[in-house]
Amino acid sequence: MNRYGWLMSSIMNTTGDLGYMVKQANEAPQGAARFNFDNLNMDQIKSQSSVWLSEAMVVGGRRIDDHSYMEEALIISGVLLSDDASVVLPLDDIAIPFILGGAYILDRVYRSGNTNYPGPWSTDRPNNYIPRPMSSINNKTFFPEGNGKDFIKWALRLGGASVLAKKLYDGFYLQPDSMPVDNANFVKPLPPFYTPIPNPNRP
Amino acid sequence: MKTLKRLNTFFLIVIVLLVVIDILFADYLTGIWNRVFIALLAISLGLSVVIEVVIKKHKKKK
Repeated sequence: MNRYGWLMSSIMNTTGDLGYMVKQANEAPQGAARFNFDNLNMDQIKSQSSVWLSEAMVVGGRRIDDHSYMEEALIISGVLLSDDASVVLPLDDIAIPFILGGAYILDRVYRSGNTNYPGPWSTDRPNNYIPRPMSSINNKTFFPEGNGKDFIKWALRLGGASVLAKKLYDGFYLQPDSMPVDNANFVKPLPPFYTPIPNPNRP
Repeated sequence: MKTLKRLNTFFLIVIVLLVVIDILFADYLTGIWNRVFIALLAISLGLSVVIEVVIKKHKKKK
């Protein structure tokens, strides 16, 4: 995947239509080539956009993602190594790891590793195509606790457990913090409807 | 063994009844009845699972 392909595909995938691209094209500056969408249906617009996409990917008669940054970095490294014996000293070899590292990062960022993305698509079956065998399921071991009676049992238990869990969840509430108590000046709270009985021995 | 199986069935029926009661009379399960319901459901669920495990271990020994 190249950077333009990433941009276009991300726009088309996120918006789901080509409205954004149409807007961009219609708001292009004066003098720029304009494309009239008024007499086109969506399929024609899509095919036109795929033409633009393929045009954007071709630079100098060559597709952008036919080669990688690492390829170019290896060529540059070869040049740097080959000039050791000639005019330039091996001092410039220090740049090689940085060039290779940068090429690796660029390849990882801008290329998917699939040079055919996003096309050209083909409906031909590849020669090395091996159909994936479909794995069958064993009816006796499909449910971990077994089928039939056992399955019904565990289904009932799970239903009861879900009801219990919901009850406990609904009834759960956090306990409030205890009130701070001044123990020095603590006065025992009186019970409600307290009627003092007169003490005859009191002075 | 037979008693255990019957007990297991009994607890399963109790679970089903409790779930049905919860569905039908959820509005009346308040206060102490809510706690009673939770206790009954938890006890029947726990004992049902314990009995199931006991039966399976007994089968393995044979």
